[in-house]
Amino acid sequence: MAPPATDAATTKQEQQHAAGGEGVEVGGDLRLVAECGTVVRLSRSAARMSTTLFDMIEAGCAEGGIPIKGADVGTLRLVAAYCEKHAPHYDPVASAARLRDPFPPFPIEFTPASYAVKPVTQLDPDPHGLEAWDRKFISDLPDNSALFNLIIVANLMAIEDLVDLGCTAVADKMRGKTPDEIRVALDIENDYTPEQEAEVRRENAWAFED
Amino acid sequence: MLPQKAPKNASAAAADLVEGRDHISNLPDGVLQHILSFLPAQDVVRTCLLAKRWRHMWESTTVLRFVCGGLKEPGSVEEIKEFVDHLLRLRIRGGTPLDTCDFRFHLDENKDFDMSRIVLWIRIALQCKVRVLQFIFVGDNYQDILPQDDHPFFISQYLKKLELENFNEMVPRFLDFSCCPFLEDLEIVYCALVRPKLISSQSLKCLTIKRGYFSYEWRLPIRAPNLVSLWLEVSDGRTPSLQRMPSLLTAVVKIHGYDLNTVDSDYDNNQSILLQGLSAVQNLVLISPDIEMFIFRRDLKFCSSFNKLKSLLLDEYWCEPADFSALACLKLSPVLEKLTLQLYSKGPKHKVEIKLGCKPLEMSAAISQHFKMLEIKCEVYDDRVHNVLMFLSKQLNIYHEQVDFVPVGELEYDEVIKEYDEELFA
Repeated sequence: MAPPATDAATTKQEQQHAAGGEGVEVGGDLRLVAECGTVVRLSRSAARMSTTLFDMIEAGCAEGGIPIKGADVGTLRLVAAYCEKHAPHYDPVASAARLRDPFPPFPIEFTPASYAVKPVTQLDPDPHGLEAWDRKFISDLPDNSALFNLIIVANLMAIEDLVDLGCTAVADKMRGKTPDEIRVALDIENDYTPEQEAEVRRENAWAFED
Repeated sequence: MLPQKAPKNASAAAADLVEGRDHISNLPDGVLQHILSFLPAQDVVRTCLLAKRWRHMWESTTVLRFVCGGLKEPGSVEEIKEFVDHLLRLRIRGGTPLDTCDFRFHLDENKDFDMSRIVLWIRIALQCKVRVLQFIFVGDNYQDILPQDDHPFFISQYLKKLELENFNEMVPRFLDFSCCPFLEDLEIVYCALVRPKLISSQSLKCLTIKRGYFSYEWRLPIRAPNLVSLWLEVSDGRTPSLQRMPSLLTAVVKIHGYDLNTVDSDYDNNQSILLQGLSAVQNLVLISPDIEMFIFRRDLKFCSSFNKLKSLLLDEYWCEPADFSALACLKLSPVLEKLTLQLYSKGPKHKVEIKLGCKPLEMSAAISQHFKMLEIKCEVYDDRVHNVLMFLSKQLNIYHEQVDFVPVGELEYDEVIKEYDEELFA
């Protein structure tokens, strides 16, 4: 489904996204190549969720295999599944406007359409069931390393929504916990010596007053 | 944007993929910072104890969230005020600019909180070049200590987005953003907007006022000539007046009536209050649960036309009086393509949703020649809805083929079809 059809001044990028979203399959699926050589297919409309892939499609160099360095097959398949699920409802402009990474190294140009509020009076918080799907997607991951790999590959492929999903999942495992509890939850190795740890605690005593 | 970080770090991360337990060390710094940006500030600072890599990570975070009152959080702002003081002072001294500063405070029921401290925190955040500032209060025990002067309160070359919720201590020029030349997004939820004298910003693109409580004495002028998107809900008080917004694309206006028929309706010097300001809009929602509220109908007299309006959503307010004269607003929209009528039903799911593909009758002056679709959303297809449809169908050819029912619940599908067939397509 194309992004909401307001007649806002569309940038070229939005028009391209719209064209991709309407299922105009020029050239067929992309072929992503994992580190081990296995190919994972990704439809063009799903690929536009990755800024990296989108730019490649635009530049005409998305034919043939696209190696995703460092990505194992399992993670790549998960990433593809996420993109295929979200692609029909993906609105790149709304995604960019979410200010989730509010400190980009250059100023964001907000195009008018990024503020296009749908003219409905009450918004259904999860109209396509994507949030529920996302929760299950994350909870189905077998362990922390699967989660971290997912974030790494999503970051590499510049799929911001998925990076966010992964990072909030990690943050949720840290929220309200003591450092010891966090280390257990995230398999973090404590490489401080007892003396160093005491020193850090002293340095930042003001943050540990409870 | 994260893509900027990815190429630089990803190949490095891929090269030293650590085998063994500690996989989190495979994540580049940028990603770890991103994770920290979702956490409350206290949790962020405490990560210094996790491992060597984390020792100083908290110092360069650009997002600070001071929260209390939630699960696993301090109970009220009393408990964290020293921490907030300390951290903000460190930031000012350190000089790393802040991007987002987020205050979500529960005020202690038993103790009035000193607002001057909050003012100080706001000023420090602004000095740290904050771009996104958010203030959510829960509770309302605070002392009235805001500086009672006549200067704009927010002064910043960096502030881009401001969000206020239940922030009721405002001074007259609190919402005068003439000293914030880059402010683009303003969201005001559940606030008393009685004391500010105006809302003014040349740079503002997006304005959201939800559950706004306005003054009874006078109308708050809203001057945002470059606004692109507006959401205005008036819960009480006089409806604010809107200055012209030639770049406006979308507007949702919902008014709970103070401006009822019983109030002096000549107060406004024969000028449009709302509709003229909205006249450049492309997608518009105008609804009011109070039929007695006069602003919309009155403004029709003072409003020229909606030359770019393509889609319009109205509710049952516009179906009064019974001669449907309020629907004359359709005449003012020469390029209107879609009209949605949400009648006696709140949504988002309605029991009956009828979509009718239409073409205006030739020579029909009352409706745009580009008109394509009429949508009706209601609980039940009763006489009231039927009358509206009859009125409109006098101006329209309705194509039977595009009728699309979504009846849900007790309404009998066959009953509705039967009524249609008899009345419209006979």
